[in-house]
Amino acid sequence: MDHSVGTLIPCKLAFIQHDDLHSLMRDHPRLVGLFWRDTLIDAAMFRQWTLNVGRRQALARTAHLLCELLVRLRTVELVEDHVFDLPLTQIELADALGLSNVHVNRVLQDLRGQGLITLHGKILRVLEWEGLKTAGEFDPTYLHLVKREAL
Amino acid sequence: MPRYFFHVLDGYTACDADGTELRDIYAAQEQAIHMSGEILRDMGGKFWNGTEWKLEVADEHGQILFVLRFSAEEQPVLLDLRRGSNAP
Repeated sequence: MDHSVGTLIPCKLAFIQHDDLHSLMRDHPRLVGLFWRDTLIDAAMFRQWTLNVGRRQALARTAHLLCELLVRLRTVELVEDHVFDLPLTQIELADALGLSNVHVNRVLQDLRGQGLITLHGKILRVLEWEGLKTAGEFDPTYLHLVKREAL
Repeated sequence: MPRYFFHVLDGYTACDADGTELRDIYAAQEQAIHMSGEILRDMGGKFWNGTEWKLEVADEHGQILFVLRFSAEEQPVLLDLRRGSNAP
């Protein structure tokens, strides 16, 4: 692979051999479409990330990441009432955003000051969902979600 | 690790109430430059509408350790150029 994979929290991983995948696809052609869609969504997310890290200002960039996380976690029912676990250190968050650690600190204080979020330990609560989406210029179309209630 | 506070004094940003734990003063100085660069990048042309802004970095006792200042100065000739006159 051209990259490594890390996890933020302890995870269970499964490895599937290519041969097994191929025969699975042959037996269940509908899966081919699903996997294809998955790569399309991955590509769409990468485009958003390129734009986000390359062009958005620090506050919008951070807000966009939080919006994406909320929607994706809500899709798998890991968000309750706009609250979710964010097991990231500030250094990791800064790394993901391409910002300096202290600037992320400032931006988070700014987002809190605007009444958009609270962050206690590793619990992130979105107080103003519409406001956070506006701040992050967030349009969830790129996530191709059919589960409308996640948006 | 010591905690440093990065106060941006631009007339409207709130003080850094949380601070950030960093290895040492050299790390704080490095972070200050990165942060300033990122803020300037975001400001772009808006920088010209403001007055001087500065970044003050303080320790846990509130003692200011170093200051970075950013200002731009337009010379009188620029005013003439904008008016379209042929200033020498």
